[in-house]
Amino acid sequence: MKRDLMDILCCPMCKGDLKLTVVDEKEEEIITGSLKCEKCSEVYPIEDGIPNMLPPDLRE
Amino acid sequence: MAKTKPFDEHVSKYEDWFEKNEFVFESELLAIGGQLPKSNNGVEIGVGSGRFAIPLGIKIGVDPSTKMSEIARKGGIGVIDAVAENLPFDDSQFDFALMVTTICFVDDIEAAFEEAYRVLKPDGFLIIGFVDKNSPVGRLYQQHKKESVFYRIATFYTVDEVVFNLKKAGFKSFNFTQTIFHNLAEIKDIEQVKEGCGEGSFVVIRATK
Repeated sequence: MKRDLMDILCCPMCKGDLKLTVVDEKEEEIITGSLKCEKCSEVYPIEDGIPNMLPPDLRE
Repeated sequence: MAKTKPFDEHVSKYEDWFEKNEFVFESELLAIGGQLPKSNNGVEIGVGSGRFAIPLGIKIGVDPSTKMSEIARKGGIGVIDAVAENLPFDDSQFDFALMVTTICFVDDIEAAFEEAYRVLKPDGFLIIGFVDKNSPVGRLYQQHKKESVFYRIATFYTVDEVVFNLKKAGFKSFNFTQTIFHNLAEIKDIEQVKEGCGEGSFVVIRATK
């Protein structure tokens, strides 16, 4: 995901703000990392450049 | 549960449909393109592999199928794995949202429309493309539902049912266009796009927030 996507993303469950942690970034794209909700503390992984923001019960 | 399984397991079958039904796809694309506002600030909900988003210039998409998202990402879409009922976007972000052949696969159409309404800017548009349940193709899909790995899990809607749910979510002023006036196998050229609904099997509704 591109960094500027952070401007519009929020927690899909409680709509809280997210904190981005980057593990791997290539050519201005975040490949691996995570998004943590500052309100409900849910953590959404970013893998292969795609944030997984499915509700927790639907995530693998 | 989000209906992702067939989309994760039958990627090539999904892609094949677009190759086999080239002119059906082109006709649907034309009908949808005619309803999109001139803005590059849109999102496709149920973006799949990006078949519609890419030619329509939509840069952001969500889809619950990780296999589909991988293809959309390669096509240059900023894709996020998410369901229509729980969108990961702040309020009032987009000029328009598009859902093509997606409402038949969502678990909760009311929640999906409420979420689309929430992420749209005031006066933003929700554009929905779908096969009308009360149309020749819609009836055929229902008759042969069990034979398709995708439509087996689908819930088809009439235009009235879609409008009813859109109104419930708060949408107003609806504009209708339609295409696909023959059985899919007979379509060997791009079909025309007409105003209104009730004749064509594929209907596009543009609703305003």
